[in-house]
Amino acid sequence: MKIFSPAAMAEIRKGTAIVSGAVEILSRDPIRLWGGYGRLPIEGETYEPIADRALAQVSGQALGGAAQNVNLTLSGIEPEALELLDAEEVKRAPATLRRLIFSGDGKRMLDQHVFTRGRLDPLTVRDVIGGAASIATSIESAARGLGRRGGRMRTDADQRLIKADDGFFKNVSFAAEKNLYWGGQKPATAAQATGAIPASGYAGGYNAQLQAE
Amino acid sequence: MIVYPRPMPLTGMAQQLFDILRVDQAAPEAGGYMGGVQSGFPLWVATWTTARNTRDVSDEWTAWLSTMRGAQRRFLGRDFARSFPRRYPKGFGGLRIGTTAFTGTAATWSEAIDEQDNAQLTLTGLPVGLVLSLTDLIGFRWDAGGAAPGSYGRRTVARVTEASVVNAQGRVTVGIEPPLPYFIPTTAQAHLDYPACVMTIVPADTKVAPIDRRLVATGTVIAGVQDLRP
Repeated sequence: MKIFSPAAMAEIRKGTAIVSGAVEILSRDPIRLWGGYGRLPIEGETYEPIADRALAQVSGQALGGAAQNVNLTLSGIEPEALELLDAEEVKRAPATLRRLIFSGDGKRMLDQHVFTRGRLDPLTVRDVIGGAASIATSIESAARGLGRRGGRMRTDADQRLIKADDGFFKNVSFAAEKNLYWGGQKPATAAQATGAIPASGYAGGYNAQLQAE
Repeated sequence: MIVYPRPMPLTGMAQQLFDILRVDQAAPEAGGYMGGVQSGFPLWVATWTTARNTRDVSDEWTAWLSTMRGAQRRFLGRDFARSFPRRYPKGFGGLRIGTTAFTGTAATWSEAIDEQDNAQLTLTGLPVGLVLSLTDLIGFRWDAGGAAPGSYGRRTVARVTEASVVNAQGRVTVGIEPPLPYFIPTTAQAHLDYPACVMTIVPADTKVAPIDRRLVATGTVIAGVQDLRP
C-alpha cells in the first residue's frame, strides 16, 4: 500500500495531477534521471532531466506490480542517458524507481515515493534507422530472486558439470519440435521430413519401408 | 555565420499548426466520471506547410531546412499568426514609453497561480493602453548556462488566455497557458516581438515537396517539437 500525501491525493481526485518518474542507478558513478525538464532535487540528490514521458508511463501503469520486473524505456538517447551505454558498469547495479506527483500547473512536486527497488538486469540499446533510439532495461525486484532454486538445467553440458557420467540430457538438444504435414508429397528421406540427420544405414531401411508401403 | 538555434525565414507559410501538446492517461467511467492523470509536462508542437511561394522564398526554406541536419540542430519555432500581438500586426511602430520607442521587451515579469490553478502573468514597463488579445504569445528568453550574455539560447512561449489592457502605470496582468516551467530564471526577459520557442525538427513528419515547373517546392511540411531546457 502506497501512502500518498493529502495534497497529492486531492490533486488526483480532482483529476489534475501530473505524474512523472525518476530513476536512480547506483553504479560506480550514480546515474540519476527524471522524466521532466530542469534539474530536480529529490532527497538531497539532483536528478538530470531527460524530458521523457515514458518514465511517467512506467511508473503510472505498473500499479500493483511490486513483485514483478519493471521495464524502463529511455527513448531518444540524451546526453544524460548516454552513460547507460556503458552496459558493463550498470549491469546488476541497484536501481530505484520513484513516482513523482506534481500539481496541475506543473510547479510543485506534491509527493514522491519509491515505486520499486531492484537491480538492472538486461539492458538493450535499440536504434531504429529513421525511427527512435531507445535504451530498454528492466529492474528486477528482489522478490523475483526468492523463488529460484538450484541452477540452470537444460543441457547435457549443465548436467555433466554436476555429474560427469550422467548422460540423462544427452538427447535434449535433438528433441526439438518437428512438424509433419499430412497429405504432402512423400519425403524422399526421413531427414527431409524431420529435419534431423539420421544415422546411415537406418535411414536406408526406413526409406525402403516407406517405398514398400 | 549562422547561429543556432536559428530563426525561421520570415514568410512563406500556407498552413500552420502551433499548439500545446499534453498527454493524458484518462480513465473514463460509464457514470461520466473522468479519472486519470497527465503524463509529463506540456510542450509546444508545430507543423508548418509552405505556400506556393516565389522561387527565392522557396529556395530560402529548402536551404534553411538543410541546415537543420535532420534533428541535429535547434531552431526558433514561432507562430506565424502572432509575430506581434493581434492588434499590432506590423509591429510596435509609434508606441512609446515616455520618450523612448517600445521595442517589445517588458521591464519585469512575475507569475502567480490563483485559487483555480490558473497562471496569472504580470508584465511591467509596457506602453500605456497596449492591448493583449486572446492567443497572443508572450515569449521568454534567457541564456544557457555558460553561454555569452545576450545569446538567448533558451526560449519558451506562453499563450494569453485572459485578455487585458496595459494600465496607466504600464502594468498588465493576463492569464497564460501553459504555466511557465518552474526553472525559468528570474533574469529571463519577457517579450512580445517574435515570441519563439526552441524546437527540434521531427524528421518522421517532415517532408520536402518536389519542385514543379516553376522550380518552386510547394507544400513542404516541417514538423517541430519544443526542446525545453533550463
